[in-house]
Amino acid sequence: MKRTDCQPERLTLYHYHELEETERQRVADHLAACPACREELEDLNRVLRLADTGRLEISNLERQQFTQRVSVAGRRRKRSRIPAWGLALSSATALGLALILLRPGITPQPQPPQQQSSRIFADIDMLQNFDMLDDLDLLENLDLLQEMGDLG
Amino acid sequence: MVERSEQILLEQARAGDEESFARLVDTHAARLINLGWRMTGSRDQAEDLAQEAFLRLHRSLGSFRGDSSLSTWLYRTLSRLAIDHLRREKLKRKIFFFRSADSEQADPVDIAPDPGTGPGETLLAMETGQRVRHALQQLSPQQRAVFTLRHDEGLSLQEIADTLQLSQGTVKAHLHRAVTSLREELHDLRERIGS
Repeated sequence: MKRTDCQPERLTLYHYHELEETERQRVADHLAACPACREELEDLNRVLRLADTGRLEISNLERQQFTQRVSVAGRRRKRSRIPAWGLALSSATALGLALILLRPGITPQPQPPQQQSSRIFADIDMLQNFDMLDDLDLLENLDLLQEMGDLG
Repeated sequence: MVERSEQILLEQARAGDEESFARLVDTHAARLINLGWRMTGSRDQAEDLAQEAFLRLHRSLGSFRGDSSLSTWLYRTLSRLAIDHLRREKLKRKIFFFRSADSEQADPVDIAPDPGTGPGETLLAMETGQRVRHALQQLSPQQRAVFTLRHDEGLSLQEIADTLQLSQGTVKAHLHRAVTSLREELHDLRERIGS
């Protein structure tokens, strides 16, 4: 018996019947001759039996309620798209009117470029904070988390 | 491929027939909620994810060509939503230091006994359930998705690779790491339960 035949990965695939026939036979032959791997496989079977979580029973009534809930959410989402267009259109109109009507005297004075850019960064930071918890890419790229990941 | 009856319902739903869409939801709801429940451990979350998957289907009705079965499409969508949800939850826990990823106790709400279990269930069985749920939470989102799809849903490695758009080698590696992690987490429990 070769020690190199003891490969835990293959036992996992053997358990799940995911090895091709020749490979499966080779593992079976090895198991017949290797008590350590037999014990390993029995142990693996025991743990995976523990991990059987069963099935969530969903009654007909619960299924109907869920279907109803999806239908309502679908209709609501469809409706919410229409006002969004209206809102965008009216905002654009208001902005256009403001640009036309605003006299030069009350136009904000241009700020020095450095001050302007620092304010933009501050605003961006604020916006990011509001959306942070829902933005997966942003969360993953935070330096803090990457450092924590390095520390384990 | 999409079955004939399902194809008809899809065409009617595409034409705006809400009743046909509701029938599609009704047909696939239980399986999809179960998949979400196994991946997240929470029924409420599972229903939210399943709802989002159906809403995405509703939005994509016009472009759904039926190359894969509707069931596969929904499985794929829900799996991705669940992986994103699990990743987000893990990162939120890190940010707020509610618990570390691998050392502290699980959230009591998460490990509470399933309300569906009967009063005759033994203490040992309850503890086993809690420990298994906790062990599953320690897996990475992708490991958990691969493990759930193989162990609970019975999908082949190739089907999982297609569903999650990973190579078969990556799926094998995730599955093996998930099993290894579960064995480590449940080391003492399996000795108490015995053979």
